[in-house]
Amino acid sequence: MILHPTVLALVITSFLTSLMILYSGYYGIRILVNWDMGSGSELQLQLERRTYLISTMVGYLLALQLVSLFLFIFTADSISSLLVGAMCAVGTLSANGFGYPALLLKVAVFLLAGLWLILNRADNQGYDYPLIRKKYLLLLFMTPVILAETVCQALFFLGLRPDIITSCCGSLFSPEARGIATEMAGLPPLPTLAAFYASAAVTLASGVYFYLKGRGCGLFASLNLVHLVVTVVAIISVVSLYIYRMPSHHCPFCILQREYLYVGYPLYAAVLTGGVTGAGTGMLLPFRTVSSLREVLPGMTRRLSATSLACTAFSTLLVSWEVLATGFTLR
Amino acid sequence: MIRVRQITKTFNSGRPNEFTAVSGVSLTVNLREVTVLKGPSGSGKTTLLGMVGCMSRPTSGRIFLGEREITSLSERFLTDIRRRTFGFIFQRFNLINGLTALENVMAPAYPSGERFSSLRARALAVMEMFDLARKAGARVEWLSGGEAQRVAIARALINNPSVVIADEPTAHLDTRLSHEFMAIMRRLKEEGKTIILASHDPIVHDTDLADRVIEMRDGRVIADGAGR
Repeated sequence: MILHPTVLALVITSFLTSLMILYSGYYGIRILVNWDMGSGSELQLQLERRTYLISTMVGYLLALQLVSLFLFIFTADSISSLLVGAMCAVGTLSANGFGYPALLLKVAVFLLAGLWLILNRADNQGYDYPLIRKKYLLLLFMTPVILAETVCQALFFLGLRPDIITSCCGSLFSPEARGIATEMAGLPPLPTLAAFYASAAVTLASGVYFYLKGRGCGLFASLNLVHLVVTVVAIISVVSLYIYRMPSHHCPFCILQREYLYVGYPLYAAVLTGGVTGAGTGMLLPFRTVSSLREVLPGMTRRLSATSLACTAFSTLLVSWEVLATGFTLR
Repeated sequence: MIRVRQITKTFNSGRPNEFTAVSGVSLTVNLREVTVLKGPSGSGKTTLLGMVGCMSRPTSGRIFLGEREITSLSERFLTDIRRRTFGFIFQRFNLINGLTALENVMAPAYPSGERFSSLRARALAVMEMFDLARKAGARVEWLSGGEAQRVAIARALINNPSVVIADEPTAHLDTRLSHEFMAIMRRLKEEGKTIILASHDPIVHDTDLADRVIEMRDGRVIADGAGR
């Protein structure tokens, strides 16, 4: 294990989150089984008091998990200089079999944590705990994912040794390599760029329509999820080429480095935040008829959609800046 | 209407010093009436008042304010109800030493975000009602018992609550001041306030002001009837 401060921070926060998730999962089961607002029993009143404490603590830890994804990528990138053969985060993540699973699990935790925080926020707006069962059901669904992420991340960091020879991003995204990353890198650049802009335009248009008219929420949420995937594919396939000004370098991690002005961080933050807030808008859609939320939910979904629109617009402008301002051409 | 349904309050639950202050109490308080809780020390009056006024939570049971059930509310909702609906007059007044009488009266209204000048004018108007305007600038520790009592009443009324709750309000007053207090309560009742008083002082529970007298002992209601 490499004793880097951020490695310790990541391992400790994930461990704490897992402990808290297990504890809240236990109360989640009790709430799912015993919750009865019509009852004034001692157990019911205890659960009401306890859920307020638990959801506050889980909220803070899951917010920490959102930051933890970026800290993980930053750590993988910054310790790459300690590993033989590694040039960026790709080399670090390839150093053992737990690197990429840990990254994928952290992305999954980011998305789920974002959705849970939105659901929790909505639940706290209602005086009668309107979404409590849904909230704890989602938390129970998240529990194995968070535990797997903690274990995978710990095994990844524990297995890192400076004497292991790893590979650089050039070999992972080369035409000879196999796998989904190579498939994405091999997509035709200009049609992929066109697909990115088309997806962004449709998503923004549906978001503006929802913001102004209050209709089309489901479509907006679905388009956000599609746009999230399209953007990641476009970054690997074509946007990275413009950022690196090289026709064959597709690495999605080198854009996090200083040479490229850390442009990857705002880009990924905007894409992920836009996706989560957009999907969160759709997640709240079925609850708009709940009596205690009827007045607050329209305002909340409008704010979420505005955040999502701002993030999508920002990421599209950032990509456009890289495409137009560099003078690099693929034609 | 305030409905209390099967309320129990146990302190130190599960420990050797476990103590049940209120046990399975159910009652209804009608609006615009004066309800008096009477009973000896340790009968559970103060604990019950605290729960009705959203100052503490029951161990089991429910309390309804109108149609709204309030025991399940989280603190962010409860604070608002406590501030807008209830005005408290405490046994020992609980005024903040070091502050003036005016500042004490204004204190519960600060979180409302009202403009300072308008709040100050309103507080002075409330103090004027109780003949306290001359004492507005005086620190509360300099006030006599009767003046302190009236400052505590003015403070309870600053947010214009619909329900005024007073716990042993005459415990530290002589007979004249106790009658003066009851006269103030009569005025508040005429203004349409709901008043809940807890006391074992005959001046309070034997008054013709009480529409209802509820007698408590050992955490239970033992009698519930109309006032004199």
